[in-house]
Order: sequence, then C-alpha cells, then structure tokens
Amino acid sequence: MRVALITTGKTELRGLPPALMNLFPDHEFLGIEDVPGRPFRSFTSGRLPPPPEGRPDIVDHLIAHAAALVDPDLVTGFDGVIVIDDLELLNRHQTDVVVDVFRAAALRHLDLYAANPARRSALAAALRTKVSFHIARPMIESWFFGAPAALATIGVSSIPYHVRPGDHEDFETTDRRYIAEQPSACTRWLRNGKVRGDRPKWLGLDRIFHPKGYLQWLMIDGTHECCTRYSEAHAGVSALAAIDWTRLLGIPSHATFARALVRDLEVMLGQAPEIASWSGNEAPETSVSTSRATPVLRNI
Amino acid sequence: MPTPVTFRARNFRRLKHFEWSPTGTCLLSGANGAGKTTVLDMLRFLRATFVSGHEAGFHAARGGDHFPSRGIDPQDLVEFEVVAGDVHWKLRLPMSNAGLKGLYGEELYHDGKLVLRAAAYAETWSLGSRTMPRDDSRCCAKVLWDRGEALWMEPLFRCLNDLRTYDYDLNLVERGTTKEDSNAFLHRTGKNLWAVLANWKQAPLRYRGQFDWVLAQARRAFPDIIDTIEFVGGEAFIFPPGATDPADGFPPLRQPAGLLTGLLQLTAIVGAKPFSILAFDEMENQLHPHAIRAILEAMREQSAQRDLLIILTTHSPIVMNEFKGYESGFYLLEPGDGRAVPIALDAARPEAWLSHFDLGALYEREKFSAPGEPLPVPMAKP
Repeated sequence: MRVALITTGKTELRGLPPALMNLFPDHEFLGIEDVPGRPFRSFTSGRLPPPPEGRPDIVDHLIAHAAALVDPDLVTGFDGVIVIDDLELLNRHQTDVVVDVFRAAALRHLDLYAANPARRSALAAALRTKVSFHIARPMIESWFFGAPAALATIGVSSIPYHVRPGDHEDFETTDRRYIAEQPSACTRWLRNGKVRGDRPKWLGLDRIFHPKGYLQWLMIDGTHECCTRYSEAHAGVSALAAIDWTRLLGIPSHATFARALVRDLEVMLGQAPEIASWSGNEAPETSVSTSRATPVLRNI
Repeated sequence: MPTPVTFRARNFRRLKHFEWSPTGTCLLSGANGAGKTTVLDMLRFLRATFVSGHEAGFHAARGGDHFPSRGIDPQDLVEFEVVAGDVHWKLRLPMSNAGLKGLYGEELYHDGKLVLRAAAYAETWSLGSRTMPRDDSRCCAKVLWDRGEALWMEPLFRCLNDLRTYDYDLNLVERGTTKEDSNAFLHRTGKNLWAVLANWKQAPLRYRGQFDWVLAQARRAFPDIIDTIEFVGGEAFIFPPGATDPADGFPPLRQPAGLLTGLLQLTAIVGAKPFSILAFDEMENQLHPHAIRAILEAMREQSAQRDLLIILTTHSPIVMNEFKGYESGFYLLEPGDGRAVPIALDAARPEAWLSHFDLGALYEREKFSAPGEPLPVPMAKP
C-alpha cells in the first residue's frame, strides 16, 4: 500500500517516511509537501482554544489536503493518509482539545458538501477508513531521547546529557547547566535584534520539558541559526530516519502516542511491523482500538 | 445574447499557441512571465490595428519590437485571429525582433467564406474578384467597414471598437480636474475620471444614473472614506461619511490610492457599452481585500446585466478565492502538453480536487500557475 504523510515539521517530512519504511518495508510512505520543499504549518504552535476556534485557517488546510488525497472521485495513488502534528508544550495538558479541534475541522470540511449528500457520504466514509490523526508528544524530538541511538547519528552521543528516567513522551531534563544557560550565549541572535525566527527554543518557558530545546542546547553554537548546530532539516531527518523502534516502543507503559501510530498502521496495512516486541499501552485519544460512537477519522 | 468571441495568437511573444473564448467575468492567472500582460498587449494591438492601423497597433502593444516568440523559425509569421460570431479576421505579420519586415497579410471571412485577402508582403489586396492597392494606414478590413456596405461585419467591429484595456496613471487621476476633452467614457489611463463623473452627475437621465451607481458601489467598497463627490470650479472633492462642512471635502491628491483605483474600475465598468470587452491588469493593486470583494461583485453584476466580457489578470489569492464556484471562468496560462493556452481551471484540474480548497490557497502553495514544470495532480476517476 501507499501511505501519504502530512507532517508539520521538516524533520518529519523527510525523516518519517524512511523510519516507517523500516517498520513496514513492503509498503511505501511519502511525505507530502505543502509549498514545494516545505511541510505543512502546525496548528498546535500556540495553546489551542477548543473548537470552533483552534486555528481553523491552518487545521482546515490540513484536513482539506488529507481529504483530497482519499477523495473517492479522484485517482490519487494513495491508500491511506496519516496526519501527524506535535502536541507542543502549551497543549501537553489538553490532548483532548487538540484532538477535538482536528475532529471539528474534519466535520467542517464534510459540511462543504452538505448540498450533495451522496458525495458527502462517500467522502465521510473515505475519511473514516483511510485517514488518521496522530500526535508526537510533546514533539518528535522526544523520540530521539527514547531511542538514544538516534542521537548518536547526529553526534550527540559524545555529549553527556541528563534526562529524568521515565517515559520520553513526558520528557524532562535535569541538566543543571542547561537550566542555568543565559541568552548571552547566543551572540548571533542578540546581534540580530532577537528576531523570533532565530530564537533558540530553550529560551521559552518550561525549558526543562522541551526536548528540541534541549537538543539545540546540547549542540549549542552562538554563531549559528537558533544558537545551535542542530538542524531539523538535516540532523533531525537523519536521526528520525534511523530511529530504533524496538527501543522506542520497548517499555509497554511508555510511548503510548507513538505506539498508537504504529498500531494504526498495522491495522491499515494488514501487516505486523518488523520489530520483535512492541506491545503495550496506546494513548486512548488516538488509538484505533478506542471505541467511538461517531468516528470521523480512523482513530478520532 | 453576447456574440461569442475567440482570440487566437501564434508565435506572439510568450503566446506561442494561444486560443481563448472567454465569457462573463473571467480571470487570467500565471507565473511571472507566463504571458498575462502579453494577452492584454494582444488585445490592445488588435483593437488599435483595426480602428487606427498597424502603426497604432504596435504603439498600443508597447512597441513592435520582439513580437516573435523565442526560438521560432525566422520565416515563421506572427499570427492573430479574431472570431466574432460569423466574422473571422486573420492577420499574418512577417516580424523580426526589430519590427515589421514587410507588409502584413490579412484575411476576412464571413460565414466561413473568404471575403478579402492580402498576402504577406503583397502590395495589393483582393475583395471578391477585384484587386486594389493597399491603404497606407488602415487595415483592409477597416477599409471595407468604412465603406458602410459590409454590415455583416458589425460583430467584429463591435468586439474591437468596444474593447478597452485599462492601464491607469494615478498621477493623472490625482490632479482631480474635470477639464478633459472626453467625458462620456473613461480613457484607458483614467485621466478623464473626474470629467466623466461630473458629466454623469449633471445628466443622470442621459447617463442612466451611472454616477449614483458608482457612488453606491464605492460606499460599499470604501465605507469609511467616501460618502459623496462634489465638483466645484472644475475640481473634484471627496467627502467622507458624516461630513457637514465644505472643508471636509478633500481633493483626489489627498485620497488613498485604493479609493482612486476603485473609482476608476467602477467608472470603467458602468460606463462601458453593452457587450463591451474590458480588461484590467492586476485589478487588486492598491485595494484592501474588502474593496476587492465589493468591486468584483459589482463587476459580476454589470457583466450579467449588460453582457460585458470582463477580463482580469491577477496574482492575488483574494481575487482567486472569489472565483470559487466560477472555475470555468478562471484561466491558467501555464505550459501544457502541446495544448493551446489558456486552460480553464476546471479543465486543467479535477473539479473534485478543487472542491476541497480555497483557490487562492492552492495558488499560494504553487499547485497551479507556478514557475517551472506543473506539479502532478490527481486525476478524476473515469
């Protein structure tokens, strides 16, 4: 089968297809570009208000693309679509709201076809059987700390790092030097007037919970963009492409959102992933196994 | 019913193979350099050549240099055709990059039958069995029309005579004077805007309330800045809502460029004769999205009421979004597999696929009218 991946980060756009091909080598995964060369925009980059707000401009665009890829009136070449977005720190206590926002967007999209009940019905069935929405909690870089061999691919293994033991989807660092780091380390950012696009992630609130911020800091370089040598488009892609799924999903009570993604693909593709042991808990919010009265997508 | 019209061009600048039968209010979209402005140049050339001769045609097309498409054989002719109802006019121009190389060829057909012919480079032309020397300035078709005998040519005459491509000069408009010679129709530069509006205001019966219509539409498009226009001593003054004092009126020089552009477009539309062809290059220039939507609505209203053919070019996603549901009037100037351009959006992309998106969002994301090779798009299921 051929699965389209609608992603919201440069790392996922290029890194997730090979990572999933390692799990399901008989199938094809393709990252869909929004603008040529770029992923889609994330709808979770701020704290989400519940529907009907919740960044309709962005989330509606995501679902429109997903729907177009499974539209039964079109030959698209895809058998399924996975939309995956980061939860982000600001939404880590409200996964339900993030899911509700996406679900509401899917229903809004179907409402565009209210005047044509047959088409609406066919499209609704396609969404329900072929499209899923998944979450990287709190963001895709947490996976690298759950399967540290990924860090080695980008040269972090030689740098000592300190992460609280436990589920990497509840990432927390205890690194005192990181916690104490000052903006003065970022000379380029300071010199360029502290522009937001060049701001290191660890300068925000809750830096101890920010895996990408910590990764940026582990590779800190005040003369580089975002004060780091870590690049989402290169190092991040290499790390994700080489992710060790056995390690990532090795503890049954951990990585429940990542496991929900793999289980969903197993059901969609009708084939077990090529890893020895990965059974365990799945996040009920995005698990295909959760019973739902009125599902809109495969898993929400 | 408007007369169906088709324009064709071969080997003309970016339009190597162009064929277009637009109707209603339609949009031309393309990447930079795709040929949108060249289409307008073609319209200007055809009108001016028919009305005033080929020298005027070259002038209207911003010069007669570099007419041939890049890469064509030097012996190939640049060709234009207009089909208006059952009248078919063809021009064949021997051109180099420097200009016209010799006398151009011309043919005119009525109901499929050849009526007149002048071969390229030939000093004479034939009308039926008669052969005559070429006119120095007028094209052969215009010579025939001017004789007043070939009334069947009226669809062609009306199509070209009532074709306007607007190219505003806001510096002229800002002067605010009503002292211009022509005051019934808007000049292509807009220089007589205030003269036209003052004239219409003075004679509402003669001009079918056109001034009131322009003002009503302008109030909708620019609700905070215009309530009325007064003309005093040959000068225009625009008053905002709530104005109570003559001093509240400001001259055009002190008005936002968007308001002047909006007034120009509204005046051009309502002043056009029924069945006219009007073309506006990048109609969104200087306009707020609210004004764009209001003016487009006004254009559609006038187009429907008076059978105007309105041609818009744009790079604006907002203008494009207003064509949702009107995709057959949304034309792409993008290279296709040997097909003539432009291609209607709903012929170039499956309707089912388009239905998922705002059209402007697709354009922004380079799903059509983008530089380079067109991206693959889904096909409709058979």
